Amino acid sequence: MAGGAGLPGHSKQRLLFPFALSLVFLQPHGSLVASEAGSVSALAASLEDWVVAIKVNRSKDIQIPRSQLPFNGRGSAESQSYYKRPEGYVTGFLVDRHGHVLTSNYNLLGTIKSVTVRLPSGKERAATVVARDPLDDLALLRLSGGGEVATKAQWREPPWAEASSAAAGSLVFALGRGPSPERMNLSEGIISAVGRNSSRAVQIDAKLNYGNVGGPLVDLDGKVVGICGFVGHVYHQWGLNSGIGFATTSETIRRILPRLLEGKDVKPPPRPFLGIQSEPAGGGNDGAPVIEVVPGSSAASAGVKSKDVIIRFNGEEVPNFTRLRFLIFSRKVGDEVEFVVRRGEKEITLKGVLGKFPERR
Amino acid sequence: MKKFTRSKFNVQARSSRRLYCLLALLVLAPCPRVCADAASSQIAALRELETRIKTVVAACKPAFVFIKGDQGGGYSSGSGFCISPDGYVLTNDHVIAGARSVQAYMAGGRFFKTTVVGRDPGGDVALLKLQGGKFFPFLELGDSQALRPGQRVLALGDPFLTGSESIFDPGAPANFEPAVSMGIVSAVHRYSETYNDAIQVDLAVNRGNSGGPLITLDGKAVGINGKIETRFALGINTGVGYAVPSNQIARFMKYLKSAEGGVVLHGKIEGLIVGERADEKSGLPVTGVRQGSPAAASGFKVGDLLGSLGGLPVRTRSRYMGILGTYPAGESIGAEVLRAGGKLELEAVLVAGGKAHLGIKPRVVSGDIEGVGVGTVERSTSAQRAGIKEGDVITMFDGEAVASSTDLKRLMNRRRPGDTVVLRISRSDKVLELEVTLGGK
Repeated sequence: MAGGAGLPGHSKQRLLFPFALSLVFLQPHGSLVASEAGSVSALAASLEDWVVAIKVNRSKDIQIPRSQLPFNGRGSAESQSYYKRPEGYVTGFLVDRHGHVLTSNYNLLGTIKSVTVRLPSGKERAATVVARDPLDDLALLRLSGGGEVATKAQWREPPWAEASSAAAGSLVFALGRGPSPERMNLSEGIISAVGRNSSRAVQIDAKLNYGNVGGPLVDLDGKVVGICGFVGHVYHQWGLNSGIGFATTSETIRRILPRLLEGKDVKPPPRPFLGIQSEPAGGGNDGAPVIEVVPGSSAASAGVKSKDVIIRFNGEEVPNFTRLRFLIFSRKVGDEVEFVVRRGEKEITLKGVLGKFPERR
Repeated sequence: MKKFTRSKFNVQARSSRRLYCLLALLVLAPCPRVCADAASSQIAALRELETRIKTVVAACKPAFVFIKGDQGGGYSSGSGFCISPDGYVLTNDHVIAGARSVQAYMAGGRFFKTTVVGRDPGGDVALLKLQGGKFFPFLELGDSQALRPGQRVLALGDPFLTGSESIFDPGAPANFEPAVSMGIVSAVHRYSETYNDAIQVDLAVNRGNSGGPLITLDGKAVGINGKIETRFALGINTGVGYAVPSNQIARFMKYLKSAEGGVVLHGKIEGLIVGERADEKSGLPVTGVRQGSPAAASGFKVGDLLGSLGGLPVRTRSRYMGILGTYPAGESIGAEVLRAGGKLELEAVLVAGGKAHLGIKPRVVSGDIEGVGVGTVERSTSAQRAGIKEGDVITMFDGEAVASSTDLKRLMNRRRPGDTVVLRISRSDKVLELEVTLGGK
């Protein structure tokens, strides 16, 4: 899919950012053939006000230990450089009129000397890192000097997608501003799978590259499904352009953004704990057998006994312990859960509150 | 895991030129109204596509299988898919080759042990059966011969094990959701080493996708995604992926089902030698026919022009090899031959190609016994199935004495895959006679 979001005749109207920009799209415009209503380029352009370019001036990039590189660092130079950050512009997303910009944490690793944000108007502003969330590969920037990017009247909230509107097979576009920030670029793909990263991210097959990592993932309604990232993660040695990409969902962002805005880093949440010992999947698929109940755990207080078999958890079928662990990990510590155990001939519904996993990773 | 090949660049200049011409025509069409309509319907058309994709994905996902091969101390992982309600599963042979046992998680996390029903190492296909369940969701095989370049297709898989292992948080459980990727058929009938008649696709295929289905937008499995072209030994998608076509698999199915865990063999026209290319001729020239060979018995003569094989046109030797590669040994194939201005229909019976394979690593024996010691017995080979064990000494091969591994090699060279031989074996103080049906390699 060719990039077509940058439009002729735009730049002279950029001064009135962002309201004036939207006017361009509302008015019929003879020369904007590529941007007719209902076209993908118009859809991309409707997001243009929030997609910014970021330039990071760093003295040193991070070094990944050789042992964690593909082929233990003995492969070709190309195969070892997947985690390195690019020089030049990367992408971010304006989340409020006070100049807060979300981007991928990947873009902001290393020893940073300074960060510059280039607004869609072309104006460049210094910025600082407010807070980071490595688990979701997100970081929040704030433009320096306290200046707002728009007045209250001018500002439109970004069109965040509703929770769980995305499904496997949804068509999506990854938008970016790198390497030349005057025009946006977009790459097409679908949502490959939902529920990744303990239901905090979706997997996509739209090609992610230096130019769009940190930018929004947009659906056919022009809604922002998430922010693209995770390309240089130690566990993701495949890097860019592989067709295996991830975006942290709008739902997750809605949950963590208030904390980031307070300037607090997001730490991995404690793992939830039900408090049973079971055995790995063995082929029966008729539930998770309870071998032992951990004293004082939520399972114990809910009344689970050894030799019970857990067959449903929060309304979902439990074929084996592997599945049960996933269902538990998809909830948070403190969540109320309801599950069904088979005890002899009887099926009993029990309720509990998930506790904290005893050991921290 | 995936197989890697060295980088190759297949530039499809001709087809892309055709595409550009088409695009140019569309762009130059002097009708602004058409342009406007096209633009306003772009999202609408994509919405229709999206609905279709979502429907197909939702329908096909339950038949997807995550495959784990126990390699002793580690696992080989890949993808597979169920093709019948009683639990037959297709995957790539390289996903399960050498595994002591093969385990399967269905999409959603149900777990099954499996039996290896049959293996086709030559075609990189394996047939498994899920144990202890019934009424499995399954995918129907489609007609791969009907695929056309440009046709939109989907792949289901477990690339980089993002669905079966938690790559974000090691130790956390996975959600067993397969990943779907979208693209088009780039080319059909690609000849690429063991992939004789591959479907080339541009959708994202990566390590772990191996064994997963290639799916049409009407929800049929038309191939198994198993191989990619890659650079720098990275094993990462380059936009060139290959799938084993469903029609080839269908042709091998009854052989796979009756293989009892063994290997099925590909066929060849023994004794027929063909030229490199047809060039300006109307068929591929037959340059040699070995006397007394099956090819001679079928009626081939030097100077014949091979017009088609199995109903498909043949213009190059690689296509000739490619078509034959989709046929099992023991089947026969029709050939259209042009000779002296006339057309002839010949029928050739295909015999097993390749070398007969026993599956042992020999070692020198010490002591009084003369023979070949068995060092190790390779898994899933004819030796293992016949019950040959490490430490055995092979003393006789079909009535002939075996004194050294050179003797054994010489005798094996006279046999074909599929032949049955009797081995006399000395084990501890006992002497056994074992019947071995030789595999192929």
